[in-house]
Amino acid sequence: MTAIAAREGLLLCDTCLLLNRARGLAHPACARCGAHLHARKPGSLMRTWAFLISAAILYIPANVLPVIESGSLFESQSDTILSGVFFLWKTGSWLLAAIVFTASIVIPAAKIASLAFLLVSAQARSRWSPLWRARIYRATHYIGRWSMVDIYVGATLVALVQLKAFASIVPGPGAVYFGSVVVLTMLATHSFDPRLTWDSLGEPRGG
Amino acid sequence: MAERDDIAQAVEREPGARSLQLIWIVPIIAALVGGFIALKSVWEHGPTITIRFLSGEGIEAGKTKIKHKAVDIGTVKSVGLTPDHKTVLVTAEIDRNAAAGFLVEDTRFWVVRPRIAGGQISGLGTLLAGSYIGSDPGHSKTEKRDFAGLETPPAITSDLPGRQFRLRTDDLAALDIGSPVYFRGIVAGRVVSTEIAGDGRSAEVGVFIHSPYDKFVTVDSRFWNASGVDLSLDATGVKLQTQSLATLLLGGLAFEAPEESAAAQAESNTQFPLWNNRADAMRNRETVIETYRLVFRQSVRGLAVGAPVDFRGVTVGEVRRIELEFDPQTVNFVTGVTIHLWPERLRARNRATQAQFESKLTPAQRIQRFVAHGFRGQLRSANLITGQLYVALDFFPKAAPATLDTRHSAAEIPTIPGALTELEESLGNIVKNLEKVPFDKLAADLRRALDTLDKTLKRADTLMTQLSSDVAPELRATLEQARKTLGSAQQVLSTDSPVQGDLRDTLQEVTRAAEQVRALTDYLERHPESLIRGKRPAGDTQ
Repeated sequence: MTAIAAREGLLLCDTCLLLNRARGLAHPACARCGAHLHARKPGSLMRTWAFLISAAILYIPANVLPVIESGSLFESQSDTILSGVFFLWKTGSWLLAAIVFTASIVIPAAKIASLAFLLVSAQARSRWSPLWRARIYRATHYIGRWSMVDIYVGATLVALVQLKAFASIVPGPGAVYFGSVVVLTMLATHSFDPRLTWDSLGEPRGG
Repeated sequence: MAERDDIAQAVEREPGARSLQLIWIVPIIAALVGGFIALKSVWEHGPTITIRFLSGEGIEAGKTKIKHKAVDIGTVKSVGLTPDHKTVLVTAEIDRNAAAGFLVEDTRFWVVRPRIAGGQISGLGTLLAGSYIGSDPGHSKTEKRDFAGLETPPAITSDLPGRQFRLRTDDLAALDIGSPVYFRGIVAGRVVSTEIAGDGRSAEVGVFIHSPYDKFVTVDSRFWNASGVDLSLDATGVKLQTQSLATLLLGGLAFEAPEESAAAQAESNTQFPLWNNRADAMRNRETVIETYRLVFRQSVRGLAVGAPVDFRGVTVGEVRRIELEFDPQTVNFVTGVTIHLWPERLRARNRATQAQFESKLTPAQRIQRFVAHGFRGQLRSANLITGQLYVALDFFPKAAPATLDTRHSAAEIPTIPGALTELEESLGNIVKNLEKVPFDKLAADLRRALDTLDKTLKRADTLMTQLSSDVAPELRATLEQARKTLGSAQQVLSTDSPVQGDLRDTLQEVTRAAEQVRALTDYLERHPESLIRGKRPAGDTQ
């Protein structure tokens, strides 16, 4: 069995990346920078859960409330993400519709789902294919930055189309929740300690 | 595993008091925000209503708005057909804030589309932005969720101050929703509805009179159709009346109260008759109407319903009904004419007398008294060319005595044959007498006479030829003789003829002799004794 740093009493300082020997210390701190040392991110599961639950709650208003409210001379219209996708689909911009749908609806949902899966499996000390779980985590981490496409487009439009009486676009309340969801999922991803995935392997079965 | 020396030894340091549990504030806040939004949406989730339209043109589910005063108050959720496929069923959600007190029984909904009607263009904005459903909240207190949409926008919204009235007419003519209603030339209201009355016998026009003007609508106000041109020809000349060029094209109404009217303001929804023109409208209306019957045994051709009942040139009523009645006694038909009599026009001059007259006698009794004095009905010709008739009532003191027949529902005023009928009868008599003349005999006699005349003339002709052949030469000789005689006579009578000269001399002689005789008589007058004593010497005078 390969050596595992934590089990050897070796802890890496998260701040200055100095390797510390911390065996026997209740509250070890980095010898160089004084930051607290942890074998695993403290309360990783709890924090991730908290962010994830928040993200899941806010995911609902983010999709139900309008993201963009556009007004022209004669009518005003407010679009949720989904209605925007439908609009794009109906007007023939299938590719665009697919991109928006993927970036704004599928990815956040997938992130929440995959994080939840990782959390549950880590909590249950599951031994199921940690390699795959690691891949899932990496993908989640990687993809997170792209889920802001919608907000980005909205922000650009709001800034560009300001003709007051003739046409105007203002962000709807959904935009805030959508942004929150993205931020919260990123925080959740960040607070999840992928090492937890592997911890179960070092333990004796059934222990 | 060997311990390495180059790995730093961690130091002991007490962690801060920061609790990891604080992280749960994040999902709590998220839950609170989410819960708040959910509650808000549930709270703001307004009632769902259905509206029926004949056409779903321009209505889109999820897009078409319901507006009141151009403010969005709801959105159409779905558009479908009723199970019988006859009407369009629009389901819409109304904002909770707007819905309170809005969805009541008399709330109206209509689709706003671009339209041109009554000289107005409306809904142009919908050309670009698409149709929307307009609404007008009602005043009722009864809540309602199922509405029948209007096909045309109402001309008047319920919050406009003013009152609505109903007009009844036979013919709408050029009137349409939106047609103006004039009061002394000012647009005081609009036509808001046109429909056929329940019995199908007349059309009902709803008009809305705006606030400052509605108080001028009194219970005796007259409404008339002001559209078109009113051309009248009377003793004062030709009159051309029209409200405005706009009414000429679009139709319009006008109303006015009679000059001396002091009537109270009319209630909302009061029904008025709609007259065809101002003259018709402003005619005095009879408040008291009595119905009588007149039975004529002559033709009533030319008498029409509405023909005047005339008393010495004053219209005191009108003909209401004309019908044939079978009279079994004489096995013949008579014509029953029902008239409306306006007794107010037959008043006593003195008010006290009138009151006494009216209080003492019932209308029938009054007419009974008139009849006793020879009050009769008669058909008279109003126009000899067109043959129009009218009913004349008058006193005929010489008429055969009769009484008011009150056995029927309408008392029967006795009639006498009309003047024209009398004329007709006498003409008929003449014709009958003419029929008695033996024209064939007369013709034979005439022929015989003519034959005789012919013969006589022939004889005269032969006589004339005889005269010209036999008598003429003799006549010529005689004439020549006569000329000769006349020539000699002329000779005798000419100035220079010897006979003339002698005659002149003789006459001079006679003159002289006459002078002598005058001298003698003068002398004898002065000296009558000279007859005895002889002439006295010249100087001896008395």
